[in-house]
Amino acid sequence: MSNLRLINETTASSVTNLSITDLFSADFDIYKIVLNDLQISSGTWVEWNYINSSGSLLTSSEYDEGVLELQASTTFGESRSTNQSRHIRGLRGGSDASNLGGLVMYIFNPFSSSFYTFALTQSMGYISQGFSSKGIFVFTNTSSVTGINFNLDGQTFNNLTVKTYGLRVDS
Amino acid sequence: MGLVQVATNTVTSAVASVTLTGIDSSDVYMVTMSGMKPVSDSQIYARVTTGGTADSDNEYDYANKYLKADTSFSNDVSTNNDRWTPTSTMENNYGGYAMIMYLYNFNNSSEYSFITSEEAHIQGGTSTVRGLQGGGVHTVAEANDGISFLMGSGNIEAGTFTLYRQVGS
Repeated sequence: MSNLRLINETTASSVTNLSITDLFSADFDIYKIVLNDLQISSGTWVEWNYINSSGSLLTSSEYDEGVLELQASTTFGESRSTNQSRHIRGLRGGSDASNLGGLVMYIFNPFSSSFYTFALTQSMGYISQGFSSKGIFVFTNTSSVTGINFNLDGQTFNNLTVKTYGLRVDS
Repeated sequence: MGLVQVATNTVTSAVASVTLTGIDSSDVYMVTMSGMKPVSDSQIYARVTTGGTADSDNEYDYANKYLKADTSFSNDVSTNNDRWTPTSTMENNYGGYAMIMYLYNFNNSSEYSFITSEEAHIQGGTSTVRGLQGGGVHTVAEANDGISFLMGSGNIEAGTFTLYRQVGS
């Protein structure tokens, strides 16, 4: 059996945000999350917040990130922010492209109450040109995280599929 | 794609290094680190192993993009070094260290050994998230059976280090 275990698959359509709860547990330290079949109503970044075991969205100003923007026809860009209320730059699409491509993210130690929650991302979208991103993220809070919420800063997911895998470590 | 665990090492008391071996095929291998932190603020170094022993020759090249949440990005490059340096100086606190590394051609005695890696850590001195993304090559045509990690200074205090073999389509 593969040590890469599919633990959740969620699809949604015509929603402004998508919460997946009871996702992270003590069974895994590292998770791979893949977003595809993604269509949105207007151009923006896919953002995300974490959710605690009570089902509450964690919106404290403890989200930091640095994102390299690799663009097909213009100079590569850099985006960075600290102390935000959410992670802002997961995957970028423009209003001229309803199909956003895909996003792969690894999330580290979300369930732990000893470590911050880190994420690494790689994405490909379209905003008048091919638009890729590679990012580093941290939620600087050691409280246990059990779920995730994806949103579009007020725009709508016309379609979205999220697959979550756990990387199993057998001692 | 599937992953088959080859080796793992969970550090619960300080050690000088962690070595993961068991590479014996032409498959791509993947290394993960989670919950890793040093005894004191430091970089982490990586070296290939031959017969389970880390190679400390001056044959390591690497090139990374250095992403930072607090200031402009930069390049991080080196040639003919005695190790890869897949991270900058990480703090020894709650931050931990998150890394995914892929290993290529390690088992091929007629090819160089290559890595690609991406990581995020809390930077010593600034307490903000930073991370290196890029790759490296060990310019010796030899078979390598694993990879070894140590700190630039001090010991490894904690963490889970796991080596997987990538299988299937």
